[in-house]
Amino acid sequence: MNCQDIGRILNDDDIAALRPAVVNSAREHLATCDECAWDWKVHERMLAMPLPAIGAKLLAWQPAARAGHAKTAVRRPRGGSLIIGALIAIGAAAAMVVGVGRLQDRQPAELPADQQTSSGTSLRAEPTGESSEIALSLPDARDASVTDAPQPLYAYSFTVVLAPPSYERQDELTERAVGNIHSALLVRLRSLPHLRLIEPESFDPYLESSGFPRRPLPRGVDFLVQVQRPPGMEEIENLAGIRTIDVRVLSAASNRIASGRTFMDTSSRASADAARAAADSLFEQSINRTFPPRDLSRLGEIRNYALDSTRSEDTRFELIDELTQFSLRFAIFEESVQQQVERSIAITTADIATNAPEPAIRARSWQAAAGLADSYLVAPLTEALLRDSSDIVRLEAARRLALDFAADPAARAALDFSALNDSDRAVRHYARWANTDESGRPVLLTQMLSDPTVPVPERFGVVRSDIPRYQAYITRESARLLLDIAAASHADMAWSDITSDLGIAPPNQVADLLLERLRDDPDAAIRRVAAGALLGHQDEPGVVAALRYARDNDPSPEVRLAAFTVR
Amino acid sequence: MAVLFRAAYRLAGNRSDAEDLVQDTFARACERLDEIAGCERPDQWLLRVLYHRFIDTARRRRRSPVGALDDSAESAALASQDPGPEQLAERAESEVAFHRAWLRLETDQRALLSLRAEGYGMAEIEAITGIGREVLGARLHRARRSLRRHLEEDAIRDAPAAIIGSQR
Repeated sequence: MNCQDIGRILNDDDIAALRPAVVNSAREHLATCDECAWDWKVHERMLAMPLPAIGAKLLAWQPAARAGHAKTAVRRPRGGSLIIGALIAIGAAAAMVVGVGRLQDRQPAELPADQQTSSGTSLRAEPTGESSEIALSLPDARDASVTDAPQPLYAYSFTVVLAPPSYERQDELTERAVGNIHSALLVRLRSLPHLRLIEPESFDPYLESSGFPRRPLPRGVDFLVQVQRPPGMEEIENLAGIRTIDVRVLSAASNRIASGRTFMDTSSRASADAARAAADSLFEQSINRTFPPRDLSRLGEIRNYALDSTRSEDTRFELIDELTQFSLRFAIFEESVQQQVERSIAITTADIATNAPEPAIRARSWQAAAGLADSYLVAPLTEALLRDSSDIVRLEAARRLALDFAADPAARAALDFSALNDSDRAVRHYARWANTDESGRPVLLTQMLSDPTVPVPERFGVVRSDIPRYQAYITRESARLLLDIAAASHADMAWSDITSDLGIAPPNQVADLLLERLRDDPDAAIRRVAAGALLGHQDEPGVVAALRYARDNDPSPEVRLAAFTVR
Repeated sequence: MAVLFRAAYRLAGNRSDAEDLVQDTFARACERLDEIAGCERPDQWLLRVLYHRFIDTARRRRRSPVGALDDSAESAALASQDPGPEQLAERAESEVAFHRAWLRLETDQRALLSLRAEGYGMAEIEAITGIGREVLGARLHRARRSLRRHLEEDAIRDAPAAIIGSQR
C-alpha cells in the first residue's frame, strides 16, 4: 500500500469496515510514512468528534418536508379525483406578523409584569384604535452613553392574522382534530395582551386544488401553520409550519421571525388532549418564542449579562456571539427600522467592548460588531485601537476599522498611527496593510518577505499570521521569495503552507516561475512545492504536461507523489 | 433528521446554528416536495440543500478573517462521563482543541470534511456538492492538512508562553 492508496481510503472508504488484510497493509504503510499517519489520525479524530444529541425541540419539529419526500411518492393519489394532496392539508391557521416597525412617538402605557425583561427594560403598549401596538423605544445613538442604565428599545406594532381551518377533504375525525387544534391555538393567541388578532372568516392563501401549497403567500404574511393528514390515516401526521415563500421576505430574512421556528411534528393522535398539546407546542415554538418584543428585549439582556463578570466566560461569549446574528432576526422590517436595530446592536457591542475588564471579552465583542458599518462605532473603535492595553483587542479594533470603515478619515488616521507606533508587531502589520492601497500591497508584501530584521525561515510565518488574504497580492518576485523561504525552511509545515498559498496566487504571476522551478530546480523540496502549487493552476498553458512529466519521471519520489493527482 | 443534524452540527459548530440550518433545509424542502418525491436519494437532496445553505450563509456573514477567539464551550460539555476526572479533563481539553481547530477551517473545507465524516464517499459528495471528483480528492486532502495544521498551531498556541505577549 502507498500514499495514494491511503488517500483513497481516507477519501472514499469506511475505515471501520475495512477488511483485516487492508487494515494490516495500511498499518504497515502508516508506520513508515509520517504524512499518511497524520492524515489517518486526523481522519480518525474527525470521525470521533463528539456530537450532541438532537435537541428535544428539534425533534419535536417533524417537518412537512419529511412527509413530503417520504410519503407523497407513496401516497400520491393515483386517480384524478384525489389530486396531488396525498398530504391533505386539512386545516390551516395562518399567522401574519406584519412586522412593519413604526417608531412610536407617543407615550405608551406600561405592559404587565410578564412583558418586562430581566434587564429591567420594559415593553410598552398603547391601544391605538382597533389594534394594540407594542411600543418600544430605542435610544438615539447620539445620546447613548455607555452607562449601566437599561437600554431603551424600539417601537413596533404587530398584527397577527389567524386563518380559520380550511379543508380540502373532510371527514369527521379530521374535522374534529383540526377543530381542536385550531380552538386551542385561538385561545392562546387571544390570551396575548396587546396583540391585534384578526380572525377573518375566510383566509386561504395556500391551499389550492393542485394539492400541497406552492403559491407564495400574500405580501406581508410571514408564516403559515398547517395541519396535515394523509388520507386513510387515523393519526395526525404532521403539524407543520411553513415559512413564507414570498421571495422578498426569504431573501432578506433569517428564519427566526420570518419563518419562525415552526417545524414540528407531533405524530399525535387526534384526541382533544393531544391537539391541545400540539397547539401549545405550536404556540410556544412558532409564535411565543419568536415574537419580536421578546427578541428585542434580548439586546438589553445580552448587554447586561456580557458585562456581568460573575457569569462564566463561556456564557458571556455565547451571548456576544448571539449579537453577530441578531440583526438577521429583524430582516422582515423596513430598511430604516433595520438600520436602527443595527444601531442598537452597535451600541451594545461598543458598550461591552469598552467596559468589560477581560481582554478576550472585549475582543470578542468587537468581533460581534463585524459587518456593522455604523459610523457610531468609529469613535470607540479608534479609541480601542489607540488606547486599549491588550494586543488582541487592538488587533480586533484594527480589523473592524480596516474592513468596515476603510473610507472613514478618522479610521484611516488611527490605522496610520498604529502602523508606525503600536507596540505589537501584528497590530502594526495589520494596520499598515489595511492602509495600503491595492497597488501598494504587492510591494509591501515583497518588503515583508525580504525583511532583513527577520530570519529567513520566519518571514513567511510573520506574513501568514499578520496579513489577511495576502495570497491575492503575490507577484513573481514575492513568489520567488516564498520559494527561497521554503528552501531555507526545514519544516514540512512551511512547505505545505507555501504550496497551498502559491496554489491560489494569481496564475499570471506565479505559473511560469513554478514551471521553471519544477523543471530545473536541483532542490527536490522546491520541486515538490512547485508541483503541489501547480495543481492549483492546471488551466495554465503547459502546466498539466509538466506535472505529468514530473509524476512519471522526477527522480524524487516526493515530487512524483506531489504531482500524482494531476488531471 | 439525525443525519442532517449531525452534518449541520459539524458544519456550524454549535447547536443553535445547526438547528437553524436543519430548519432552514426543511423549509426549502417544503417548497420542493415534488422534486424530493422524485428523488432516488432524498437524503442527498437534503444534504445538498444543507450544504449550499451553509455555504451561502457563511459567505453572507462577512465574518472577521480570523475566527472566533474561543468557541469551545459547547464541545467542552461533550466529553464522556465515563472516565475519571483527570482523564475527563484531558479528553475534554483534547476535544476542545479539536473543536477549535475544526472551526478554524475554511468554510468550504469544513463542509467537505463534514460530509466525509458522515460517511459519504467521493461519489456521494460529488453529487451533493457538485464538485468534480478530481478536484474533490485534492480538496479533501487539503482540508485534512489544514485541520492538521490548525491542530498543531493550537498546540503551540496553548503552550505556556502566550505567543501574542511574547512577540512584542
